[in-house]
Amino acid sequence: MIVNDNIEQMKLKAFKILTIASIAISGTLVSCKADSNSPGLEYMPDMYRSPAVEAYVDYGEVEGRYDEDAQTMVEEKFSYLPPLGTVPYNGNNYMTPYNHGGPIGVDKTHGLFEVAQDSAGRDGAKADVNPIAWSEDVVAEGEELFGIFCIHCHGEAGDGQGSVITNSNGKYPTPGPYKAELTAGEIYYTITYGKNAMGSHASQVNPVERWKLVHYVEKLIGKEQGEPTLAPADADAMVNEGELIGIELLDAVIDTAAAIIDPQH
Amino acid sequence: MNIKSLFISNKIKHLALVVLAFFSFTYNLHAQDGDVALGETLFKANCAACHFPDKDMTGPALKGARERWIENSSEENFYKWVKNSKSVIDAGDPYANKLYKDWNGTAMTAQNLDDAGIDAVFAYVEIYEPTTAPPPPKGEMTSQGPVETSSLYWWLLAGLLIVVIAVIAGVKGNLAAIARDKDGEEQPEQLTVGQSARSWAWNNRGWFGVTVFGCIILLLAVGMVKWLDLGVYENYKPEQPIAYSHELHAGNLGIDCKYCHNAVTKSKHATIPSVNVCMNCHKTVNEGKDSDGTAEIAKIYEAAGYDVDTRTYTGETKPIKWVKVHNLPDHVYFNHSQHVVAGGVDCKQCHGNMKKEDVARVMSTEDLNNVGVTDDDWDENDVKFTKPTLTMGWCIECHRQSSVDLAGAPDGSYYNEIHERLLKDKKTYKRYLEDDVVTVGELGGLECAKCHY
Repeated sequence: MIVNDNIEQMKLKAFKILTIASIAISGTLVSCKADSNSPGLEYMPDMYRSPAVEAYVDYGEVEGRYDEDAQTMVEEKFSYLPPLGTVPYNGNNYMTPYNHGGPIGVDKTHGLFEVAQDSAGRDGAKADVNPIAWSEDVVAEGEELFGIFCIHCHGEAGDGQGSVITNSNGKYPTPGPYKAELTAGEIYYTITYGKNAMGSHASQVNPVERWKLVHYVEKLIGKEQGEPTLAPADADAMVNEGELIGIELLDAVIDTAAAIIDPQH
Repeated sequence: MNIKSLFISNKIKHLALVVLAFFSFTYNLHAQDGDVALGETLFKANCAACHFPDKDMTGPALKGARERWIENSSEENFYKWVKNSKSVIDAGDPYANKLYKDWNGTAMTAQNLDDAGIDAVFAYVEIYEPTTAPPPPKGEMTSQGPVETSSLYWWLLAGLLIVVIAVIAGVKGNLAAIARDKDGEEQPEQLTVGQSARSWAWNNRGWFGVTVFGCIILLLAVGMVKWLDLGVYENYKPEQPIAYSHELHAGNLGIDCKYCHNAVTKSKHATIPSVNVCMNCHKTVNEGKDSDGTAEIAKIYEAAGYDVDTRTYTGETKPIKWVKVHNLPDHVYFNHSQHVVAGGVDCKQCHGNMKKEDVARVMSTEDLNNVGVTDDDWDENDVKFTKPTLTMGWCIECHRQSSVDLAGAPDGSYYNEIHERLLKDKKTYKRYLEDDVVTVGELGGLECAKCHY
């Protein structure tokens, strides 16, 4: 009888210990999951922060060493415009380098520091001819790009009623419908340097994509599609003239040309 | 008494309001000449791109512009300025030149409006009131729940329990010893803790054995589950330096993913947008939904070096240190452009429905499979997963199931080349086409060296 009681007590004790152990273990488990700031346990963590430089990786600590240089680099370069010479140049066929300087004051109003400024920039750009020949495919590509980069403000029909305008409760002004008098060169110029409330999109779309966009925007404006806006002979003349102007301009900006922060991105 | 004084003060307030309204009405009398409705249409068509009625933007706030012109120059020049600002500047009007200079030499676009049209616009502008208490946007940022402190809580609880049990056991032992003393029983011989534990374990070897066995099984099972979680990043959602909301920007405002993550079609990385991309919109939008939102937007200005009062860039920039969310170890090669352009994979296939998320998170398998099922923002994903996100099994799963449109590949492309090769090797092609699709896996998407080299 006494022995039985003892065994009963012991069973109770073992059960108690087990319970405590379970609680402790579950507590540990919970503690592993709670913090969304922690990526969780890693197998071979060093492989996630390798000494070979990768984008966006925090180089504060690699293999237990604190890499001051890498850390400084990350802190200085994070979320900045791409450095000069790291974006494809696309050759000479797409009006690169672009010879029209940004509007005066573009460094103050649009943050485009080190971009050559030119009071005749926009007027000079008006006569530019789209170097990409029109075709259904090009317009389709332009439409796809428009759907990514323009549609949320300018709207599907180019009427300036995109979702950002209609859903922002008046916080963002409408750019208005595209004006009929816009020329191809002017549209390109605006995408490159921005205009008024619109910022420069040079870091987001490269020159080839910009010219494709121009084709699609012209379609939205209702310009005649399917043939060049100018008769071929005239176009040649314009290109020659453009080249002459370009050479003149190039002479004028030759010193600063090297420092142009790349409207050509 | 208090209530009474309250009423009086309210009355005075009302009176003051009426008086104020009366004065402002007379003040604006000559501005009311035009047709307000027409003015609104004209304003939105011609002016709204650069002017807010009540706030400076690309150009100054239009409210009171007429009065400022009358005060500093003349009403005649005011009309002239709207129609062609350059003529007034060239005529040497000092106020016009000051305006031109103050606004960084940005000339106002000449407007094709007659005097009546200008009157109409200003009639609208002068009575314009910003809509008070804006309705919360559909995709309102969901407040994050209270900070998880459960781990600390559990530890405290466990510690407390152990202490309580130890105390009770001690008291019980003492009581038993006292009882034995009283009954004249012999005290058991004093053993060390280890000896007593061992003798207890031996005396109860049946129960003890079963318990130990159970514990080991439990630990093994738990260990196995936990080991499967090792290196799994699911639901990793680090706090970011700016509380950017995907729900607001991509969901409510309808901005395409690729507008900000624009290198996704060109490079290995989708890229976090540089701050100039934020500024494309936030140059104009400087107020958030509430004061918190405004403070977050101010962080963009600090990074971009933008002075919101003078509306100019100062050139003093600072980096924003975003925290990388989707990490792959160094021995894995993954390229975004390859998947998005050549593979035609949608963002949502791997990143889920970001229209419903605030800051970036590694979606769980469940989230990915629920896209288009529990919401109607997108279509359902092509591939359904069973393995945890960002693990190798997860990649393999998709490579096994995803089909490649060989016939539709553009001329001269890589797939086109493979297609040509397969057409010559009918036997292999036939084997590939047993299930009517050619999958990524069949074209070498499961080979080690595709991703590990």
